[in-house]
Amino acid sequence: MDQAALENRLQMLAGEMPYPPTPDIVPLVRPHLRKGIRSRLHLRLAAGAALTIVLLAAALFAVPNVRAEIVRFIQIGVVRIFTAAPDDTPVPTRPAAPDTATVSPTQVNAPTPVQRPLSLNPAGETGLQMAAQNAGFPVRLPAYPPDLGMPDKIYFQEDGPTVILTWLDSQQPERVRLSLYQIGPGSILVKKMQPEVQEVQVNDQFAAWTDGPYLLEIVGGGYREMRLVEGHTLVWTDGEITYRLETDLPLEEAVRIAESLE
Amino acid sequence: MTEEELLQLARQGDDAAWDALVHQHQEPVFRLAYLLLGDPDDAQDVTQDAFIRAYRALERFDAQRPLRPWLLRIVSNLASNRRRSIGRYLAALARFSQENPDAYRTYDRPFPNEESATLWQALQRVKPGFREVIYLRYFLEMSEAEMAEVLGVAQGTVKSRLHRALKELRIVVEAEYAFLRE
Repeated sequence: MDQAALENRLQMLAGEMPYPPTPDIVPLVRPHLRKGIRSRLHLRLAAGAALTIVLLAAALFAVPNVRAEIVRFIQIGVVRIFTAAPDDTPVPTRPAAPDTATVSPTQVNAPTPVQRPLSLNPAGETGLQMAAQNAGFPVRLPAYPPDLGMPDKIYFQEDGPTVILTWLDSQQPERVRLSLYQIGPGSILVKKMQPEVQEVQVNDQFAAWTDGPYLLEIVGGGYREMRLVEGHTLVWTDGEITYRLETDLPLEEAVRIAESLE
Repeated sequence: MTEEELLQLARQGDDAAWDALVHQHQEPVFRLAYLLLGDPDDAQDVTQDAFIRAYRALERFDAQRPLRPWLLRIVSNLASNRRRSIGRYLAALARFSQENPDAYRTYDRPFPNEESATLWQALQRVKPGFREVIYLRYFLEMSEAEMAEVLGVAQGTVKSRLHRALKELRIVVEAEYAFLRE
C-alpha cells in the first residue's frame, strides 16, 4: 500500500468512526464559571487582607517591646516560614522586583530565570513510577501550562518522604524552569528564613507565596541542607501532603499550576 | 457574532457568550478526547475540564487567535496526564498486548466494514504520539498550521512527524495486516 492509498483509507476510516454522541457540555461547565470568578475574587480579597496584615505587622514590628511578643513563624504542612529572623541571621540584599505583568499562554513558554539545580541529594534521582512507589502517596503532575509535559528530573528522598519534580528550560537545559516538591507527613522540616511572605489561596485553601532571596534550610533525619533561594515559592497543602513550587513565574501563574495538579 | 466578539464578551463575564463558544467547539474537543482516551466518560470529564480551564485563563488568551487549537492543546495535555495517572495499569496491559496481539482491543464499538475495523486495529499499534498527529490530521481534518498550535511545535516538525507516523503505520500494516495490503 503506498502513502496515497493509506491516506485515502485513513480518511475513509475517519468518516466511519463510530463516535459516541457528543454530550452537551454547557450545563456541566456553567456551574464552575461562577466558582472561578469567586476564586479570583477571593484571591484579590486575600491579597488585600495580606497587605493589611503586612502593614499592621510592619507597624507592630517597629515597636521593640511588641516585636518580641509576636509569633515568629507560619507553619504550612512541614514548611515553617520564619517571618522574623534571629538577630544574628544575615539579611540578604534584595534584588529588583520581578516583572509580575500579565502573561499570555505563549509567554508562559518563555525561559524563566535561573533557579539553581537541586543539590539536596543528586543520588536520589529516579523515575516517576519508582518515585511514586517509594513515596507511598500519589505523585501529582501539573496539567498547566499545557506544554509542560513530563518532568526532566525526578528525585526521591527518604526523608519526608519527598518527591521532587524538576522541569528544565528546553533552550537552556542547565536552567530550571520549575521545581515541585511533594512532601509526605514524615520527619522532614523545611525552614524559610525571613522571606517576603504573602497569604494566598490554592483551591480555596490557605497557602503562602514567598519571595526571595532568603535562606532555605531543610532538616531531615539524615541531613541538613541550606541554600539561598532567589525565586518565588508557593507553599500549600492538600491532605497530608505539602507542596512547594519554586518558579520565577508570577503568583497568578503559580496558583494556576498548583490548582492544575492531577 | 464572531468568535473574537464572543471571547471579548466572555472575558467581561458574559456567561452566555462562553456558552455559545462551548457549544461551537464541544464536538471536536470531545472527539479528540475520545480518540485519545478511548472512553466516553473519561472524554466527557476531560472536555468539561478543558472548557473550565480555558475560561479561567481567558484573560491571558489572545482573542485574535482561533480558539479551537488552544482548546485541543489543553485536551491533549489533560488526556496525556490522565493516561499517565493510570499508566502503571496500562503499561501492564500494553505488555500483555504486545505478547498477545489478538488481545489488543481498545475499542469494541463496531465499524461499518471490516477494512476500517482492521485499519483501526493497526492504528492502535502505532506509538501514541504518532497516533495523535494522525487523529488531528485525518480525523479532525486540521491543517498543519493548526496542528502546530495544538502540539506546540513548528510546522516543519508537524510535517516530519506526520510523515513518520504514516511510515510506521504502513510498516505495521505490511507486517501484520495482510488483508489491508491490497
